[in-house]
Amino acid sequence: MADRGESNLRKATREPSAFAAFYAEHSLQLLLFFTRRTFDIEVARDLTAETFAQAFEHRRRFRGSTDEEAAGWLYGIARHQLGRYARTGKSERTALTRLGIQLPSVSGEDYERIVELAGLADMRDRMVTAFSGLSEDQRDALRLRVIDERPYPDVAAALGVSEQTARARVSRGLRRLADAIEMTTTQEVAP
Amino acid sequence: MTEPRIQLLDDLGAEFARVAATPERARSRFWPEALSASSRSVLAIGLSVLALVAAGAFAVPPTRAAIEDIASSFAGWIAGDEEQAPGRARRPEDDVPYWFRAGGNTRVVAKADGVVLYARFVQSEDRPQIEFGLGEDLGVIVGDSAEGWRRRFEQHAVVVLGPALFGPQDQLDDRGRFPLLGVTARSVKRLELRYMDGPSLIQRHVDGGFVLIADAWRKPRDLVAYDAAGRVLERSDVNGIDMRYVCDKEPGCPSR
Repeated sequence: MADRGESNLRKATREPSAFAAFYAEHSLQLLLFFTRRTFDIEVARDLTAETFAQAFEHRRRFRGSTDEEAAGWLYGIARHQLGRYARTGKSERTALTRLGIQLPSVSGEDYERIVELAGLADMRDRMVTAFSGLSEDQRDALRLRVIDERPYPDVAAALGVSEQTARARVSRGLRRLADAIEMTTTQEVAP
Repeated sequence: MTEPRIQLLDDLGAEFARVAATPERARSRFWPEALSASSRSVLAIGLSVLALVAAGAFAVPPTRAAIEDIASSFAGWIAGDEEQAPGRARRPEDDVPYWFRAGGNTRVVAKADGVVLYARFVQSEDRPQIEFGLGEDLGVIVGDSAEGWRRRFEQHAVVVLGPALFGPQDQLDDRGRFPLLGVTARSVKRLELRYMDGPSLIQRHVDGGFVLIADAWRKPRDLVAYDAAGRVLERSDVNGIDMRYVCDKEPGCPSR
């Protein structure tokens, strides 16, 4: 029997069907969490789906009992997924594949609603402002690396600097952009 | 206040509910679209092959691996026999994409128009894992345990792993085509991708896998695998891989 106050994730370790309730509690916030960090709704969908797939597969490893602990555990997986995506530029689908889960498509209606709920328009304004506040060197480095997706040796050659300097400029520029959107992202429920 | 509805979350929730309601032993592990489509169609594999394969597992001895399905060609590789493995070993000059570089014994299974199908064998935490890399600049990794793949591959002469993209910007090439990737049994020497209309795409000299550069503006019907004598080993239903919607965004497709 489930204890009073027991999280649905904990229940799902005994009754897999309780996972649906856990999903219902967190899916929207998690989707918005990823959307605000990737600015790409399809990537956010993939990361959300893979995070829940991993949570489902590994639910028996969850050692907590409360909703807060369950949310913290879920966002731990989410951050790991996000980090992997940031490093590789790819969203993983390993657990989704193992479970045989089909990814739904993003309709135009969903797209508009998610953009609105995630406050992307506001974040883009902040980004534009922050971007224009960067030094010219940092803007050029970011443009080459992030927008044109050129490898670091190319960025360095185009800027006439060492690869290490190019990396430092990109890194500092990204840090400042991240700081600029922090005000928005900290409003989220992200345990 | 009513919670806003996001259809994709509802659909995804239904998928998780379905998975949660499925007994673990019976849970499907198929790659969502392409693989499940092909796996549903257990087709015309010769009875003699079926009979032999039904009794076999991944660890089939080399002599039996000669009479084979896809599972047996991968069995040789896992057992350390590179001769029995599909494709060829990775060479220093192979420019493996960054997202598929980490670890493992990597092979190049098939290649066409700059798009490569990679496979790697990884000893993960508790069980051996096989992963396939589909694509180049932008790719997808499809992974499962060796045992999981064995179940998917046994009794199949051809299995479609999925479509890939030419790159992050261009989903299709300048002729409106996309790469379609998969693996085959060693006995498969020729593949024919048949569309709902128009001429087929033929690929000869198949050796363990394929990268077919298929027309995106035509709906595919099935993928037929032939042996050296021209006998049909399997017909795989691929009509679920309909890429015509991409044509609406890409200039390379001829008008329909």
